[in-house]
This record gives sequence, C-alpha cells and structure tokens, in this order.
Amino acid sequence: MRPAVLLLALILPVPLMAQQRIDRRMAVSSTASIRINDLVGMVRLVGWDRDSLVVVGELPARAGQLYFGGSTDAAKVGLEGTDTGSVVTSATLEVRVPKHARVSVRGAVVSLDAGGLEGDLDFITTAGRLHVEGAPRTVTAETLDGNVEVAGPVASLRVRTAGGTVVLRGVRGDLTVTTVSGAILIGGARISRARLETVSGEIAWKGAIERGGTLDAQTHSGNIELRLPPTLGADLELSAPSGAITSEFTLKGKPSASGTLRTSIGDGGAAITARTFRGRISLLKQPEVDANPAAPGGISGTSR
Amino acid sequence: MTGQRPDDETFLRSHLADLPRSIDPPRDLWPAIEGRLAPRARARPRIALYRLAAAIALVALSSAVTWYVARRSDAPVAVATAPVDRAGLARLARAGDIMEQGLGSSSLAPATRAVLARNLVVIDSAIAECQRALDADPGSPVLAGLLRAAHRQRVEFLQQAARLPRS
Repeated sequence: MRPAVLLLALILPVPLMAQQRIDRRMAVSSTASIRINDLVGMVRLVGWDRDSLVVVGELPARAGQLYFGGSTDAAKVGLEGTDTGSVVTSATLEVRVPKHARVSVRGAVVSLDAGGLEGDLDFITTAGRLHVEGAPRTVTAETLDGNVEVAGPVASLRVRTAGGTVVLRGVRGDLTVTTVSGAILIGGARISRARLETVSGEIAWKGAIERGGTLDAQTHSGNIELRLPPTLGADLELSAPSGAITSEFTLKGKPSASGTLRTSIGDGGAAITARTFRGRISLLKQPEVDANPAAPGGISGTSR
Repeated sequence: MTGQRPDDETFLRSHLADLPRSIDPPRDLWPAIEGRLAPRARARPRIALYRLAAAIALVALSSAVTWYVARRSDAPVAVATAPVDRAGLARLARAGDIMEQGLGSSSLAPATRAVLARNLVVIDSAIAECQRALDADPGSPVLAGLLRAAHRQRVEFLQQAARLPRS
C-alpha cells in the first residue's frame, strides 16, 4: 500500500506543476507581419476579423519561456530555452492573428492547424505536419517528414516534403509540389500552372486546367493518374519508358521508341506533361460533377 | 614627517581639501582593458560562432547552388526534347555533392540526419537507375531529362535540409 501512495504522491503533482498557462494579447495592424518561432507540439492558427494578436493555451514547463512582442506592423512570438530533446508534444497553443496578416511559422517539432487566413502563410518544420483550411493568398510549406493537407481555394501554393504525403483539395491558381517518397494527391483543383514532382511517390490528379495553363507531373518510380474534365482541351506529352500509358480519352498516335507520346485531346489549349521512368500513366475522364466545381458537391466529392 | 598619525581626522581633512575634484586619465586605458577582457569574453561563444559561421556558409552555398540551378534549369517540357548535356549533368551532380558535404558538418539532430540519409538513398537510387538506362541508350533525351530532374531534385532536397530549423 505504501509504495502505491508514494507513487501517487510523486506522479499526481507533476501535471499540475508542469503546465504553464499562456494568455498574451497585443494590438497589431490588419496586415501585420507575424513571426512564430520555435513553438512545439500542436499550434492552432486562426485568422480573425480583429486587429490583434492573441496567444492562449498551455505549455509544459519544459517547453521553455514564451516571448511575445513587437510593433503593430511586426510582431514575434516564440519559445526560448526549449528542451526539444524531450519532445514536448503535449503543448497546445492557439494563436489568433488578423486574417490578412502575413504569418511565418518555423520550428523543428511544431505542427500547424490553420484556418480562416486570407493573407500569406509560410511554414517550415522538420518533424511537424501542416493542415490548412480556407483561402490564404499564398501558402509556402516545407516539412521533412510530415504530411501536408490543404483544403480551399489557395491562389498560390508551394509545398515541399521528403517523406510526407501531400493532399490538396480545391486549390486554385499556381501550384508547386515536390516530395521524395511521399504521394501527391490532388482533387478539385482548377489551376493555371502546376508542377508536381516526386522521386518514388505516386501522383494522382483530379481537376481542371485553365486554357493556356500547364500541368507538369513527374515521378521516377511511381504511377501517375490524371483525372481530367471530359471536355478539356490539352496538348499532351506523356513519357513512360518502362511502363504503360492508358487512356479513357481517344489518343491519336503511338508512343515513340523512347516511350514518349505527343498528342492532343479536344481542341488543345492547355499543356500537360507527365513522365515516369518505371511507373505507368493513366488518363481518366472525371465525372461531370467533379469537372465543374461550382456544381453541388463538386469539391467535396473529390477527396480521396 | 609631522608626527601626526595618518588616521588623524584633521590631517585627513587638510589633505582631502587639497585633492583635485576630478582627475583626467593620463592616457586612454580602455584599449588595454578591452584587450584583457576580450579573450575571456570570446572564449565561451566560440562554438556558437563556429556554428553561426557554418550556418552562414551553408546558406551562402545554398544560395549559390540555387542561382546555379535556376540559371541552368530548363522548362520541364523542353527537357524531354533537349539534347543530352553530359557536362551540365556532371555540374549538377557536383553541386549536389558540395551541398551534401556542407550538410555533413552542420548541427542537425541524429533523427533528422537519419531521415535525410533515408531520402538521399531514394534519390541516389533513382539517379543510378536513370544513369544506367542512359548509358544503355545514350541518345535518349527522355532519359537525360529524367536524370537531370533527379539530380535537380537532389540539390533542391539538400537546399531544403539546409533551411531546416535546428532543434
């Protein structure tokens, strides 16, 4: 009995003593530049209509000391003295920023769950992951091993990860995604330019390309699956030296000796390039409801 | 000698009154003081300075390679039809090697290094496979384009690694 009591006495106070309550607020301009450095655990980033920066939540004591300050146009939030070696994954902070703010988040072990932003978001992490919903003007994300998921009409998107999977839904405009082994899965897109590149991951695309727009998809050993609107006009260059090219569209011509097929569908207009060294390329016609995102269920029906 | 004791109050007061209110230093003492302080002050942050210098060098190297890659890279569509540029491939491979050597001396966590190594194996395998295929079919612009893309991916991956936050 005595050891159990002793054990409880040792364990019980720890969670109470180890937590530090955070509640910091300051006024900033609606387009302020906000840097969030070296936070740990999960950070929820919320864009709101107020011109103020708020950080609330709880941090384990070992998460270090929060610093918070700056001017109305440039503010900084972060942790110093953090023992990241102990991986403070239990930290949860909510950071509220003006929705048009320019936000930069950097940290070795921070994951970000963002929503309501309409400005610019720049996120770099080593082991964290990113989840964004809404319509930021630009999103730039780099993570070594974490997954990246973006849902919403982001106008300009740059994503780079090594082993993480990238899932994008309903993105617009200009898109660049690069991975090493992570899959690239995109649905409900309507883009003017997209560059999708991976070494060993697969690429699955479902979406429209604006007239005059370009889609470049390349993987070394993965498969490429492109689901395109049945009425899309595009010039195609498809290369699969070691794999097959299959299509639900009627393709004129045959692959060259090097495995490259140059052809068109519809009346041309967009330019699509797909290359895989060892994988196969599939062109599929997407259902009309997905081809027209304005139609009911257009975007929601595209997630895999 | 006057015979008065040095701690005599009258004696001290009379001499204190004769003392000047301020004294100009005979010479600038600060350089000597600074010279004595400097070694101790700089001894501790030496490792931090080395790390900072290494980080700056890595960023500079990364920027140089970025410029190099941006200058040399062709539009993806053009790659498949471009003639095989072996010298360009060799330069790109060399740029990647330099980046990798630079990362070797940086202060990355062991877990991060393991992830980097695992992904470099994937990229290097792809490069080797493309290279073998190109050796077997030296005139193939498609294979040359894929090999070039794999080299560029390696450089870009190492650039990303150089930008990673240090834990």
